Amino acid sequence: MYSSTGAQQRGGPRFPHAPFVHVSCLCRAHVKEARAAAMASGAAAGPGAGLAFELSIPFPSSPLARIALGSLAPDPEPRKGGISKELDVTENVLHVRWKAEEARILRVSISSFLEHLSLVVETMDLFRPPVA
Amino acid sequence: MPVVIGFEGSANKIGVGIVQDGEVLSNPRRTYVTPPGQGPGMGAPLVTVAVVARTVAQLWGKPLLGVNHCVGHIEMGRLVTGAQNPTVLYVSGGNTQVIAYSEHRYRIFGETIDIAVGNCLDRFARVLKISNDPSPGYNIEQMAKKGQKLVELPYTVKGMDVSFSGILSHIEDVAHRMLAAGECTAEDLCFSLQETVFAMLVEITERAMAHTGSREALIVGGVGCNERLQEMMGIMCRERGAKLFATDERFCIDNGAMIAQAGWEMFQSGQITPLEDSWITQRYRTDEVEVAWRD
Repeated sequence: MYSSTGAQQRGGPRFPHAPFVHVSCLCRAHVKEARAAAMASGAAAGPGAGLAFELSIPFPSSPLARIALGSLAPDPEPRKGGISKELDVTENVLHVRWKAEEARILRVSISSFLEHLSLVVETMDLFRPPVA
Repeated sequence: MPVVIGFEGSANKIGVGIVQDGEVLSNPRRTYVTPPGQGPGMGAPLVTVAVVARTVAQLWGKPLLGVNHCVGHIEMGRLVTGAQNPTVLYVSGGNTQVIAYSEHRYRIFGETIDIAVGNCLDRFARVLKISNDPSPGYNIEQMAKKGQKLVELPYTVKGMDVSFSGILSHIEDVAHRMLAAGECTAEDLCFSLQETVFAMLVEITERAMAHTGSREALIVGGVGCNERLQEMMGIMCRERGAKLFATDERFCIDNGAMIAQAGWEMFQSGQITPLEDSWITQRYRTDEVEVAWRD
């Protein structure tokens, strides 16, 4: 059920230090693991580097993935500029892509996203109507 | 007929309330009491409850409504007390406003020009090392009952508005010296601060009532639990032939039912918040809300 390719370097001229993490979830422990990976890869980039970060989060079904998108997409990043975040869903997978100027800002945004993701997953576990 | 669930989380409390046709079925609340010596310790409570509310609404296929926090206080106050068209004094740790309804808006007649009255009381409590448990305001109120002497403090009403930061700095300056010299007690300072800031609030509320010709006053918000404030407002209202409405700590302190009740009023008048518009904002003034549910 769970698989992680861990943090790896991804080539490309625009974001030379861009890490890529693929995380499966629907379990709180996995979200925590993803956070640890995010911390590690974010910290590796030097200041001023154009940074990118991606998360792919599979859900048990595509409706649940779309609910997660609906819950996590509306709030804009609290700081203006320096960071952007895009979310979309294909099939049952929620994709999140960050671009940021500074590792510190990226780390804060990812960390807070993972908190909220964890909350969505917990809410689904507790309040999802039983499948007919 | 519909059952409404309200999620409230704007400061150091989380509340979830269930309301059906004006009847509060459940309204639990948990408060984060700051341990002494640490920072305020608030994360991002607004986003947290918004994320859960959005998820629950989608899981259950129910409409979602974004509710203005201040409007929640007003609607809950009206529901619980039965006040029809009151002039509202909204006093809490984050807000201090005198509000009256006119032409589909809750209009702000007067407000603080700097910090909220509750913030002034909380920070004063910190200066005197008064406990945060159960809340600084409650402890100040209890100590004030034992105050004997009125220490003169700045009285800062500016037209329809009030200011509390100068009073706070003044008391920060003089408190320790006066206490050390035995010129007054901590209880005297609690008493004097309450008398001064509450008198200011009563003054601007009375002026708003004179403007609107209102015969009702309603106190909402966490500081509204303070019985001395209720007593002083009661005297003012009696002198004007008006009636005072106030609620106890179940409803004046932030709670989920108030969000449910205001959400219900909005839903009845045909409003719904599309998911993509349900982003949270810390800058959302009381008078930005179109009050479509009142005449």
